[in-house]
Amino acid sequence: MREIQEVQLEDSELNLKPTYEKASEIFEVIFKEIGNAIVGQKEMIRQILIAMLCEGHVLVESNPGLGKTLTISTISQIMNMKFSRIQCTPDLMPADITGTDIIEDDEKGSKHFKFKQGPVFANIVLADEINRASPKTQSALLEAMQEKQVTVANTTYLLDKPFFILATQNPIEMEGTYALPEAQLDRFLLKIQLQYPDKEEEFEIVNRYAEAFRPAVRRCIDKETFLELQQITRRIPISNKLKRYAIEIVNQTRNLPELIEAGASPRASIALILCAKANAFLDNRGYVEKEDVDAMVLPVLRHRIILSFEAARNNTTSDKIIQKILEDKKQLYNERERG
Amino acid sequence: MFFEPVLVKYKTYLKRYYGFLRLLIIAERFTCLFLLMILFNAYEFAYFLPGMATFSKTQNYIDPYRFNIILMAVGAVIITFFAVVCNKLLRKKREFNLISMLERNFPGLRTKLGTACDNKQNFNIVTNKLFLDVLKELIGIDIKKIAPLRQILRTFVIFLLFSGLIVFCVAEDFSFNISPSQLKEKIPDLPAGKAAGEMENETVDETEYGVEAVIIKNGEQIEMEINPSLGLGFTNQVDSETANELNGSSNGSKKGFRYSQSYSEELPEEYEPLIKQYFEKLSS
Repeated sequence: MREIQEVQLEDSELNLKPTYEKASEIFEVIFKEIGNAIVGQKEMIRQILIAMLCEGHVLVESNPGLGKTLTISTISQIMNMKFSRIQCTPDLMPADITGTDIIEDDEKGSKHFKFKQGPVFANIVLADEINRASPKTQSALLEAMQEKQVTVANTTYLLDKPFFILATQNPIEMEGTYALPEAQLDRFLLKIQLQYPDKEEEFEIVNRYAEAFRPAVRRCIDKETFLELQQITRRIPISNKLKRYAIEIVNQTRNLPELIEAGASPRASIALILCAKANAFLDNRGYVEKEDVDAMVLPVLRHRIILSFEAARNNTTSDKIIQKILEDKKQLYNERERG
Repeated sequence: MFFEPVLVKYKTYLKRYYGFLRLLIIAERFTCLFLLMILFNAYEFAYFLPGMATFSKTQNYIDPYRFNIILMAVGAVIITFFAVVCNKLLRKKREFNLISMLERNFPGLRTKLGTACDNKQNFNIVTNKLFLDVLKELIGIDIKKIAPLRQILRTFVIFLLFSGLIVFCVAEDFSFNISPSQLKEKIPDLPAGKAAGEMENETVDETEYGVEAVIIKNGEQIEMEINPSLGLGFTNQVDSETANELNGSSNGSKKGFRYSQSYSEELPEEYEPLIKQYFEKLSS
């Protein structure tokens, strides 16, 4: 009798049951539909979905023309979400993003202020070339990204859920760019680095987009279902052993002063565990494995560490350092497992 | 949680086997040690203990050979006991970790079981399914696969082998021609050890007179257990008066020495010049 009482689920949990049971089908359809529009870039698509499931935001660093905008607009179409795009330029003002109060005449002819929402009031926002915007404008995104709300003229406006920002940036050494402040970088859950497609993929891209025919995608999930998927992601259990493993990896970034000037914050540990959960969920697994943590280490940590002068002088990249940390910790973990 | 009773059942089952294995390992080590002691005549070590030689001579209950076997058995028990205690104290205590054992041996439970155990208080739609999966997997496994049956059998066979050898050695009075007293010859600083039957009542302080009371003739060691200062080295008869005198002298100087019958009874004539030489060396 005691056991039966223990397994009784609350109503809020039971409401999630149908979505949880068909989650694998949903993901399969999403990947299939995106695949109809996008050739290759599977890793980017997966990581964007992971960030969306974790209610996080993504920073994509790549050269132009690799399908970022197409990917994100396709996802918004598939999920039937409101999509907006902000093209960042040095003269872009914060109000251009958040929106502003404008004077409006009503029917009686009297004037009053009315808040006109900016492009940030959407479910999926593409902030293109974010590092071309001035630091002031970049900071305007901070509140929206973290608090999921916007304050204009002492009035706070809540953003619609789900809210997801995909920011792109050109490689930092390019001219006319402003490096993103560390505080803002930390607010991006993942940083994805895109690679050029291989020859076969490029052949397929040409075939699809150099013809009159444009692939169409169909809506296969609604906002509500996606919000439920986000709730389920946080419920994916992880063992204490793997939590400690993830924390050890993040902690190690603070113990290499010769290579890393500033290590990752505890926010990185949370992000790593959360992303590992989403990765497991996408694989239709109801628990996290070590491979899930390993897979998410690079995109979670690469933008959260600041390299030392010595490391920069030696042309060491954050990816190389994180990879080394990961290898060391993996070895330690395996040794412990063997007992 | 629903899978916990199954885990408890498996733990009890495995603990029983591992407990039995531990006992067998201790028994195996004891028999191994006992066998080595028999083969290398380790009973001689017991006679380093003060009074042991006297006791072995005076006791009439068991013949000397059996007495030595018992001494070795007691020694082996004591050493094994201390080894077990030291092992317990010095080695880091390792919990019987059933979870990792099951995860290692049954790939279907890898990570899943640990996660379920760590999240057993966290009940939601996802963990609910995980707990049910774990339960199904747990019920389906053959726990006998990870019981240390092979180790138990191997240890038992070795134990039987050692026990058989012990019985053979005891029954046939078999041992190697190596003993701790032979070691003493190799290492001069080692205190003299004497076996039952070859024992004198007391040992001689060899450096008492500044010269070692030992002479070597043709590689054979001869002990000079006499009081050289009294010139009684060649006496074959010592009357009670002399004995008292000797004891008195001994008490007075607090030097424990005594005469030996061995010179008159056992010492061959050809040793006489050597003994003379020894005393001359002492008096010069």
